[in-house]
Amino acid sequence: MAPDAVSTTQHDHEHRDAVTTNTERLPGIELIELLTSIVGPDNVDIGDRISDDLCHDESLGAAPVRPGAAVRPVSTEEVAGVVRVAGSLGVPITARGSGTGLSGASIPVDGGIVVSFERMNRILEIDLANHVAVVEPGVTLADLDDELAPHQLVYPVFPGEQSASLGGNVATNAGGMRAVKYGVTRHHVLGLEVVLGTGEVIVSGGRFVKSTSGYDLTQLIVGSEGTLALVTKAILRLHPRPAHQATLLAPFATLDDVAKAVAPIVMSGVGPLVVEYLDVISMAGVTASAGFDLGIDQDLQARTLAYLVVVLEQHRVERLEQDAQDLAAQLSELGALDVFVLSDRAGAQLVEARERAFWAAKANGADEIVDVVVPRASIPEYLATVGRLSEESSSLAVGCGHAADGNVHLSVWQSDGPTRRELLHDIVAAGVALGGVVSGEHGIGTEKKAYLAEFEDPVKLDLYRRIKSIFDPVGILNPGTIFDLEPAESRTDHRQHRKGAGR
Amino acid sequence: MPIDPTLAFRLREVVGAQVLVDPELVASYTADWTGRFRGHTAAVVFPASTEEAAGVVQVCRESGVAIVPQGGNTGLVGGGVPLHGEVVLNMGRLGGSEPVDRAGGQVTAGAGVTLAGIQEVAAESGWSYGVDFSSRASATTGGSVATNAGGIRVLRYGDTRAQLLGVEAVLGTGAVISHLAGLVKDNTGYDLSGLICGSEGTLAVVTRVRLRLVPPAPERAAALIALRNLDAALGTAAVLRRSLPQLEACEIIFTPGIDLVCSVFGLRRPFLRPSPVNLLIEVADRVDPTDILIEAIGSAEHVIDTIVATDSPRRAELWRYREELTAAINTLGPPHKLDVTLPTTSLAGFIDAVPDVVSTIEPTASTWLFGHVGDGNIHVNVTGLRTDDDRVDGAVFELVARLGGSISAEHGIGSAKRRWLHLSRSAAEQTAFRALKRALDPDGILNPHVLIPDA
Repeated sequence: MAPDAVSTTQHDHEHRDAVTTNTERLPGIELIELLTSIVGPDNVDIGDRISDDLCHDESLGAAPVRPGAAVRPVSTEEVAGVVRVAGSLGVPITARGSGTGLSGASIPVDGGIVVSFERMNRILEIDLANHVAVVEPGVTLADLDDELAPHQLVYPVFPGEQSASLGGNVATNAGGMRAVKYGVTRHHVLGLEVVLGTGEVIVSGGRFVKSTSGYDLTQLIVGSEGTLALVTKAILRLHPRPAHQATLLAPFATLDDVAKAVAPIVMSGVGPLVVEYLDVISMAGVTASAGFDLGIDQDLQARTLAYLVVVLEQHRVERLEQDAQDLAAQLSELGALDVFVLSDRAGAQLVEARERAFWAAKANGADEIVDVVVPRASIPEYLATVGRLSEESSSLAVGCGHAADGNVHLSVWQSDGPTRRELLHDIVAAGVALGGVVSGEHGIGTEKKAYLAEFEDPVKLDLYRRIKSIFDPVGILNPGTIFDLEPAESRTDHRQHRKGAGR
Repeated sequence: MPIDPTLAFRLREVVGAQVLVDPELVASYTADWTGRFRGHTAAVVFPASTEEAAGVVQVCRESGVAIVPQGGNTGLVGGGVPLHGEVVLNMGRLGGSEPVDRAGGQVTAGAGVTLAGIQEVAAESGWSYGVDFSSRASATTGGSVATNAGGIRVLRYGDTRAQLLGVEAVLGTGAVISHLAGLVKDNTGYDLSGLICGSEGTLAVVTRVRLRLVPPAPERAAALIALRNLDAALGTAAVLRRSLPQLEACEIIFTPGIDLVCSVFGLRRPFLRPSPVNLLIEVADRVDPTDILIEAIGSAEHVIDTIVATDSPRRAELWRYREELTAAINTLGPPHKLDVTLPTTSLAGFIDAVPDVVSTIEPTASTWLFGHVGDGNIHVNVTGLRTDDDRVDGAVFELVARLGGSISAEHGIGSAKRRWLHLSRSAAEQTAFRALKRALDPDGILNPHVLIPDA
């Protein structure tokens, strides 16, 4: 596994101290013996031998949980064996890649089993003729990119955290900055090998881009956050890697102007790779944290309220220059206060800094992050509402986001728990009121399932539960992620019923 | 078979007069356009809204009557005609589309809007729709979602699923799910729209769809390229695909096919010196792509001759050699139409082997090959076979399975291919299909004789 760029020791979080071993939760001897017989004694950990790293993800609000056991299988057969054992004993399983998730989906269940894919980290094949990569789930984005670059190919999903694993990317349907051009993870998964909750292995899809022969199980599993199956192999679609990039930076006087510029840019046909907005506070934060200066004069900075960053890519340099020139002219017409075509180095620095925006906010003590998505034309209206809500609660919510996707990432500073929870609820509700949803790319996990329960159509939630029971009839795969296995009302009813019966 | 009067009454309670029961009037809804699939029905019902469609599904569920959802009836696998006497739920009246969301580059349309209709509203608003295929005037968005239709622009923009941001659909229970907000990033639960897409009317009846639009690429150029042999054609296609991001279509046509089109439609033969294999390609961009196209073709080896067309009428002339091929083949009698996809590396072996596979079984049959070579999608049309003789179909599908391909690239499984589904999908997958069908359609009333083989 590639070293995580941000280890827990660098970014210690208060509740990490709370990880203690609850001796009553130690797994039974039978479970340990069975797991050991499958993966070998060196690859089963229990109790204090389980690394603290396996107990948390990178979400700001979720408390770490110590699992009963951690296993490191090396093959699909071993994964299937572990799942069968867990199923027979009714022990929950949480799949784990690099643990870079942001919504709690890879945090273990108390007393459950963590299946860590750190040993299943092989790139099995780069198929140059079919433009396909076949990978194990523990392969990181960085590893895959290193392998592809010499072939002038690219796996074009860049969620911003290159140490993330592909298994985790598939499970959360990771998005990122380049979605405006290439789409998200699901658009690049051509096939999967997975282990269902029954221990059965299913292979779906193949090395072709076009198929309509029955239900698309691949797409159903993509984004299911480890609740339907464990991914053991993925067939990924690759693209030719354009050799040249240009980055344009345009300061705007209002966020409204930024939002209005997005559709014409996309429509112009320059095919932007990245279209990001940053409010001035976020821009100051990410550049300061990355240690560089944009070199924009004070006067212009004073008039700027938001920045638009557009990255272009092309196979031919002369075409790239033409696109950059035309786009610069268009941005001026669209009300940009100025347009800077950055040098390769400055452009790369800025995009890198933007990718680290979350870490910059975290380092500055942000209390929560938001991943709401709204129709892209509604971003200004949405952010105006968010501004009002934070002001009313004496909080700070600033951010940046994927302007072309309507995906708004906010960092929220409010140390008081109840006030923060109320504010976050209102921020999500405001997004939903504009036709949005609570998560664009981080997923629901455990952290946002209350919002889903509140805002999602109960007919759909009921379908989710029925679909889960097909793939995972015992309910051992990441139970309590995305939704509770039993709907809230029926649990309430249950309790009321019992209360009534006791009377 | 006359309709049960109670059923007719209850359907009319939902949709008013929009129920056809007269055997002469229903006839045109009971057969597909190739004439290969003919069925019968007691009624054709035309809902005008999602609520009406849900009402019809509820009535049919309560009456224990099966339904075949039908769009423009341009399907090719017998998935949209009542082969077992089902009630036909024709979506033609769900025809309106909302105004295009110009800022978002999206549109919400009724399931009955034709592909041409979507292309038109998209163009009027300055956008373009990423899917195109030759039955555009009749094929509907609902049908194209149900079959995850492909077509000639998949190479650049992906299949219908890649355009689909959400659906509104009636489940087999009569419940409606709606996912039309049009969020391009949406990680809130399982991808139900993606599951319904390609389910061929067996999980839900799609009533409205939300589609992404793509930027227009107004500057276009097309070329018909004559090549020495199959390997040269496949090699050239690979080079073009890699070097031309503007590449929108890359079709392979063999010279017997071109000759057939020419004789049926009285067209001139494109090349003085005919070659065995031809590629028809089109590039589109915001600036004139002609020079880049010519340069790319110039760098390809084994090209015998090339015709480049830049203006719209001349491009249309070139496209006739490809688009009229289906109609030309149909003049030889109802063809067996097999639509398969293969890994690029298996294409040559497949194309070489298919004619022999066919002639071994039926020496008098003719094999016509063409297709979207850029996607690995080959259409195998076989004429000179009885419509009910499917030995050739099975043999070709087995070849596809051996070579790692899929037995349906873009037409779907329908009735025609369901007995061969096991060649593409494992027993475990089919078990999951059946369970998913039970979850969304517990009484099994939605297109029960399509896609999933009887257990």
